[in-house]
Amino acid sequence: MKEQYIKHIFITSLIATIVIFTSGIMIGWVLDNYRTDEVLNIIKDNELNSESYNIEQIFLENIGNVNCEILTPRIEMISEELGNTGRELQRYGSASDFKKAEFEYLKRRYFLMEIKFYNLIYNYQDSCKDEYTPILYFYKIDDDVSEMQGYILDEFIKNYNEDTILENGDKKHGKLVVLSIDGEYDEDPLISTILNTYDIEIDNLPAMIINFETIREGFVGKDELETIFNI
Amino acid sequence: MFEYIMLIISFIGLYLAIIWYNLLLLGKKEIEECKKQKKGYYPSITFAIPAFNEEKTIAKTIESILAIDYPKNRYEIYVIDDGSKDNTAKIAKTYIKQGITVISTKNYGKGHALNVALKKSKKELFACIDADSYIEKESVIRIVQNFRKKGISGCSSSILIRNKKKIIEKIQVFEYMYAAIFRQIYSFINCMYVTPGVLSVYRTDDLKEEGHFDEADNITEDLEIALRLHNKHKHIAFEIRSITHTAAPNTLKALMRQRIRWFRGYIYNARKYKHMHFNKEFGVLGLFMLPLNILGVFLVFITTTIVGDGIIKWFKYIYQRVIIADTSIFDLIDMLTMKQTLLTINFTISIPLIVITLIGFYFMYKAHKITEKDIDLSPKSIIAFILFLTAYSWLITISWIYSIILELRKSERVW
Repeated sequence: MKEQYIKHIFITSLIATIVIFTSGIMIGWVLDNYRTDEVLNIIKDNELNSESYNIEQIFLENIGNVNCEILTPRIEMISEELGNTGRELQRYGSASDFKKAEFEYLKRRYFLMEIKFYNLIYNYQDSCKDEYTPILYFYKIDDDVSEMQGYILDEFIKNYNEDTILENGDKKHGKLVVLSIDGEYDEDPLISTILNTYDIEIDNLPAMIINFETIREGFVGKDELETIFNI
Repeated sequence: MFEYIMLIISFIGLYLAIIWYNLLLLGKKEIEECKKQKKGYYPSITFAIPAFNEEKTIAKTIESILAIDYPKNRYEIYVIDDGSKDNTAKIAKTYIKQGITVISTKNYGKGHALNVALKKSKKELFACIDADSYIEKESVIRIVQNFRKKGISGCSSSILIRNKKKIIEKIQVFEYMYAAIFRQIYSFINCMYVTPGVLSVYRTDDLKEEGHFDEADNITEDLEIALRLHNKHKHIAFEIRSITHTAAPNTLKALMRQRIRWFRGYIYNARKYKHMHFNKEFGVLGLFMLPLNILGVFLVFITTTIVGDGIIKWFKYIYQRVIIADTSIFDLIDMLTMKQTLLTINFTISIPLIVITLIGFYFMYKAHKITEKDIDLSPKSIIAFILFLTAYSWLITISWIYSIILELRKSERVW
């Protein structure tokens, strides 16, 4: 009799386990959909803002009245949005179980958006001298050195940008913007094109292109960054 | 790969937690019945206390037996001095007037010492008590009631820790509490595969019939005798309300040494009784409990590795950010909104983990309630509980690995 009860317990426990486990999977799946929608919406907003800025810049150039006071806050806003998107993409992407492919697609859109922004800064610098200094940072996934380089850049930029504004309101130097891109990402040929253009070997990653010219391959410490930026 | 391992582990963990929970619910009625049990059954008992260099505790152990709530004419006490080099025998002999018999032998080991008393015993039951353990007044009366049932050959008591000052001792308090409630379930499903020497009672005739305690190279004779009784299809019970207090190892080295002895003893006896594993003839014990013990070792290994990997990554992150990148410690706290927090949680893994944790807490509460002990909520105790849940599995894993290596190298088994 007791044996029967025990057997019954093993079966009902298995059913209960499957129910609880499946509910976890279902909630995970629903949230995964929500996560991808959330990031997609942010990316769409970003793309729209970039497009709007681009049109505005062309318009101002066409009428021969490029106004940096109008463009600067816009570019600052896009830069901030881009940073937030990257963080959300990283945060939600790592929590995702079922939408890895979708997150890969979103990652591609995000990288393209970063490169587009990189181009926007290039054009912007023509008109508004040295307001921004972009760093195109190529990293490797699951790589200790890349991870460490990322943290150093984060901290460096935070301190550097806080140091930008002088007491009289003037700017000491252009604001730094880091655009992080997975250097091994092979879904989009654009990334390898950029790396080839600057003669950067994938094996030498992490690497960075500072202000469209200076190339640094391998790990760059805080001291070296300070030397590059004359701090 | 890592995600799949996590999913499998959480599924197995959840399944086991639910099985134990349901078995506890099913056994609840039995525990309630046990509480109502009348005491009017007093079989005669021989108490055997094997002692080796136990001068500090032997007196209190004897006194705790002399103070039990049991008719004096229904029991006898043997102290078997197993070749002690201290005053154990001398102290024990001071109790001769109270009816204690002291037998001195050469140091042949615990199994031999118990057999010396067993050969002399003519009582119905034979109780083994460790010389560093103290029994409560009602422990014996409660445990013997289990022998009203004819099929029962042995019964063990709950073990609680009496030295609870250090963190390492407090950690073991929780471990023994869990052991008590789990053993009650094992008893219910006839899977008590060990009769701890702290206080276990056997039917004397069954022990004699099965050829006494194992003396040959066995460092866990309490595990061996339990498996031998099961091998003969005899039943072993557990009485959670019969409480014995024992001394827990109070240094990391002593604790590791004890665990290595237990685990080596387990490997030795699992090999000796390997035919019982996955054997339908032995019911739940053969098909579930014994294989689960082996699976449990792998689960502990894998879980410890995963938790360890997480902790190492976390320390690496802190090191890289704070030491290398010079980030302020306050900047590491990512202030997330409610929505962001919700979207960051991996529910596939978290839901099973939450259920397992809740069942774990319920078991701890239930163990305290059944043994009628208060839950210690002091800060030291809370720290000990957190360490028990997180770091303790490391010690168990290291002890298991070391035990396996020693067994593979066929190193001498020492107490």
